[in-house]
Amino acid sequence: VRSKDRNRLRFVEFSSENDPLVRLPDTRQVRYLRRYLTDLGSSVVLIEPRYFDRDYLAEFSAYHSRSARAYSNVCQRVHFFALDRDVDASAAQALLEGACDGHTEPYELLQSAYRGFCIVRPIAQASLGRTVVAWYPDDETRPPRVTASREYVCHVAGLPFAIDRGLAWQQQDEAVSACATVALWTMLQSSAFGPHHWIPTTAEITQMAHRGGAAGVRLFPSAGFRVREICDVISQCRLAPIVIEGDRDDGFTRARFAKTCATLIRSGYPVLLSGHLEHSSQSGHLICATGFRAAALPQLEPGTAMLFDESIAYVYVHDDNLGPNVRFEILDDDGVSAVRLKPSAPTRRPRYPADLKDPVGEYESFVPTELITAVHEDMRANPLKLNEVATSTAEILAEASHLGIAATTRFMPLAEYLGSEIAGTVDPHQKTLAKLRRALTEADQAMSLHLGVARLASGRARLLDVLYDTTGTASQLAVFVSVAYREDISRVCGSLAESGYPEFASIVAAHGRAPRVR
Amino acid sequence: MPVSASSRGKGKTRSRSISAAGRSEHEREALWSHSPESREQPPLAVHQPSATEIKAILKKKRPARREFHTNVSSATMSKRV
Repeated sequence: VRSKDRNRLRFVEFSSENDPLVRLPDTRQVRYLRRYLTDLGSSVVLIEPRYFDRDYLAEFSAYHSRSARAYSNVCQRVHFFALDRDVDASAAQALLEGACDGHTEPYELLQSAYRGFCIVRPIAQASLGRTVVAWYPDDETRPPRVTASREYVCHVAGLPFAIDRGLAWQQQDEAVSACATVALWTMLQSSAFGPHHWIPTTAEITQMAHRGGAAGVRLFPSAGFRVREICDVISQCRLAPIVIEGDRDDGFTRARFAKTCATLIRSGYPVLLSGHLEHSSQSGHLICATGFRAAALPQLEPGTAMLFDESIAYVYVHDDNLGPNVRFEILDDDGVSAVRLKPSAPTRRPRYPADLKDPVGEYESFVPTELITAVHEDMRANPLKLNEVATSTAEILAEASHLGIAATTRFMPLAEYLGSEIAGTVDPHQKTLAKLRRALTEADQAMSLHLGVARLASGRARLLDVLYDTTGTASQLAVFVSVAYREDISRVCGSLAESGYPEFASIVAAHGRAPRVR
Repeated sequence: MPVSASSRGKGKTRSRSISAAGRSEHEREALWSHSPESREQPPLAVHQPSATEIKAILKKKRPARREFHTNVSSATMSKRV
């Protein structure tokens, strides 16, 4: 009977003495996660006492199984729910019973209150294993937070519980991983890479990084990676690495850092930030940027243009020293110093339990010196080049049309552009959308699987999408075609094309009149 | 049923992405928005440039190709993190 009790799926009150997170050693990561879950309104915790976790089993096999400490290979999985305060653990237990019995209503209540899960590993020094939590509420309606996230579905007693947007995080287990391992592991979880990509475990990442030869160094415990080893892991995952160095001796200017991160994250590619803590320049650190707060649309003087992503103020980061989705403010002392990222929690916070000290208050700022990302193998374009040509095109159109033009860029699959993207931007009536889709599909030049897209606008009025070929060399970004949203802009582009400007040579109209390819 | 899901956090106001991979909230960004209002085209005073104006713009804008490098130094590639 005791054994049966021990294995029972059971709800406990969040932050009570029975909450597994409360029983863990008091680390910065545990405090961050408990505060984060408080922000999500977590009220009860469902404990799965026995869970075999793929990542932990790989770590166990690679290292812990041969330890004299006799570690177990079984983890706990704990799930967090934000139910109304009058629903205590026993009421939640009744809901679970009803859901298990096939009743729809209690299941839907639990699903709508689901906020994520955390694997609790049986190793005291790094208990927090794979952790997926919902993004905390986006208080500001505009401009929105943009994230490189994906859906996660887990099953409890056969019941699926889903987080619609998240990206897995875990605490660094020094035995088998370093900060670089965890950051890489998070990046490789991105759904931008599609369902056909294999996601390696942290132990596999460490082994892959040294496949070319560990040069006599012991693999486990892991001593971290070189940048070339990170690129090697990315290549072994059938993806293409892109490394972007800072444009200052001491790191990045705000413009280069912010624009590059925004373009990649908006495209669904999380970005590894390689650098160091502000006062520890000798010891490297790697974290993974998973989101950013979009910049407000600028009001620009007529005849001027800008890529306004350079104004973003915050990035969201998975840092194995802190936790998932940590908000960092981008600071550069008005251009005097290189970009540094300072942890900066949003101001509106609920009351935290008394024992929870601020986990980020005294954390040092982080200075990024390189950006590393993994993109699809067929995509050879570089985000720096995309932003450069988009700015140049916007400047010319602004000067010709006497409009103030804001530009923004991203990469996206052709199918997505032809599908949901233009369905969301073009009026479906009067057959405009159908004609546009046919014109793009039947154009003289077939387009690549992934496109670089530069969107140009004046205020809220969309003007032009320039679609770039991503299969050329990194320094050549040819235009396939441009989509004009207004007849007056079509005419300006036509005049520019006649004067020999190739970027405007192939215009498809996405406005009321019949689209035509010049 | 005496209980209800909390409206805090995820709640009902958030909608699931319709993008291929459900991967980004860019649909809510001003210029990437898919809302019906964002399809409206406000009136704009678009200047139609003359051939002379265009020549002047192109002359000014295309004097030389900007330098673009993707080479990464071996020092960076050897950096340990």
